Amino acid sequence: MNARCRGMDPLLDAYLDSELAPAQVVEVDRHLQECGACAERIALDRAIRAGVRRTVRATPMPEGLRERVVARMLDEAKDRPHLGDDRMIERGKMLPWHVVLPLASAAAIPLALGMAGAVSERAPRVAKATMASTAEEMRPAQSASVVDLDRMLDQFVEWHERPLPPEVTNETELVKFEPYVGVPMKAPALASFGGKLVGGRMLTTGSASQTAAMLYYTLPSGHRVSIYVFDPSRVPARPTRLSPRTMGRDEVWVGKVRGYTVAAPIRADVGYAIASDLDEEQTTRLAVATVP
Amino acid sequence: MSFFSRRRPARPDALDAFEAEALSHLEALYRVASRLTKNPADAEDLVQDALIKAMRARDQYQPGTNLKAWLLKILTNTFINRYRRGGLERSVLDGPDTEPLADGWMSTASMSAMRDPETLALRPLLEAEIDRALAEIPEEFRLAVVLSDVEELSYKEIAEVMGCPMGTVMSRLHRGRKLMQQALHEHAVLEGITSKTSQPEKDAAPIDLASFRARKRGVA
Repeated sequence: MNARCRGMDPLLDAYLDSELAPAQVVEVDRHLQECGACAERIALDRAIRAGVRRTVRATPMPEGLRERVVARMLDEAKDRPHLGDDRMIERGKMLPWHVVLPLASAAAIPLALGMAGAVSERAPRVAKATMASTAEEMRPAQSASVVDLDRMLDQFVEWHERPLPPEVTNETELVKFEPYVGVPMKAPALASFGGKLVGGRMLTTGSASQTAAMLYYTLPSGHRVSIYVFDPSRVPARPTRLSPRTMGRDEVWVGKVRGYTVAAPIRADVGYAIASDLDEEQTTRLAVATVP
Repeated sequence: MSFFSRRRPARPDALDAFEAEALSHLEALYRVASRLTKNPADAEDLVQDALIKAMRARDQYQPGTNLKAWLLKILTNTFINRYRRGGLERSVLDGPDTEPLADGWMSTASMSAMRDPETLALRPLLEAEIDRALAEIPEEFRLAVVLSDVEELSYKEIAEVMGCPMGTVMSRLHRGRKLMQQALHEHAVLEGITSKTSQPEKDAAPIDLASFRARKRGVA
């Protein structure tokens, strides 16, 4: 080992860890070509690292560990802060769409598989929804049962809390939802609030008889706002958990649903609802602005 | 149907996205835990406690950062609090780290023999020996080496997991690896794989942080 090698020594670790700048990598590479001793040394170090990786990765997991861990996590999850819990609201504030949606995407594949596999009676409907090309195919049968608004609001809040990945991300694509929702799709005018459309998707309520388009918005403050567009003719019941509120000439249902603020403009032809973690005043303003 | 179920069951039947992603790192958490505790039962407890703590502290996770590194940080802290009150730092100061360290320098022949880790004859030797060598080096070196070589964390991520400056990470890695080379060299000599022609080198200090950063400059 000569003086040059001694100078190399401190670099070799970082070289193998891919933490060197390109110029230093070139420098080390050149030395390794010239110096057999250092080349041997690097080769040995590589072998040891590969051995460490292989040895540690081969660590056997105790039998049943995964099951026990999942059981404990599920037990813990029942106390998981959720809607109606103040901590959840705080979290909602801290998680903008660009953060929440990748998490939702991660869950989407198992969800889709679960749906197709577990609920076989439902599978044809899912397949049909995917392939349908005309409004006729997609319009829910008129005989389908109506869903009361309270139950829909619960679902809206659930979707707001745990959004699925968007199907479209461009405002011009929202018209694609029209055949499914059965009402005209116009992007809510949230520009005056600095609201930015992140994306949108179609959703079906639990009974599958009512569909809604969900639009993901984000405000400059980082708050997420979910706007739902649906056919109000299929929701005759008035909400019991929201109170009417007048703002200017507009009337809006507003109230808390499981910790989130929900507002729905009282309007006949197109149904809108908003879920957010903003206060009722702000949410009401948004609701009024939502109506095109 | 149950995805949109209105009422949350007493015990949910599914983990949410965050929890599922955390669970996907179970194997990594377990193998690191088992290298810390050296005991499967303790390792299991450690992993379970770390995941539960992660669920409770999920608000503190910075989305977009390495979730595995964040979980490993919780696991490491849990380990320190339970088994090593006083932390890793002191054991470094008190431990063998203060002794001068010599390179386990090998003959060219022995290194040629060990160079290919996939060589069948050599493989069992390396695995058994690596296992023991890892178990015998000081904890903080072992953790740094495992986080780097097995979990492929960056120096910066390791620094966060171990709660120490990056320079300390580099020093721990350097010393840990030197000890590994030494242990494997000694074994190779004992096994007659190599003759003791090697000349122990005085340990060179790892590259210092300032010059490291200077070198790193220019890297995106």
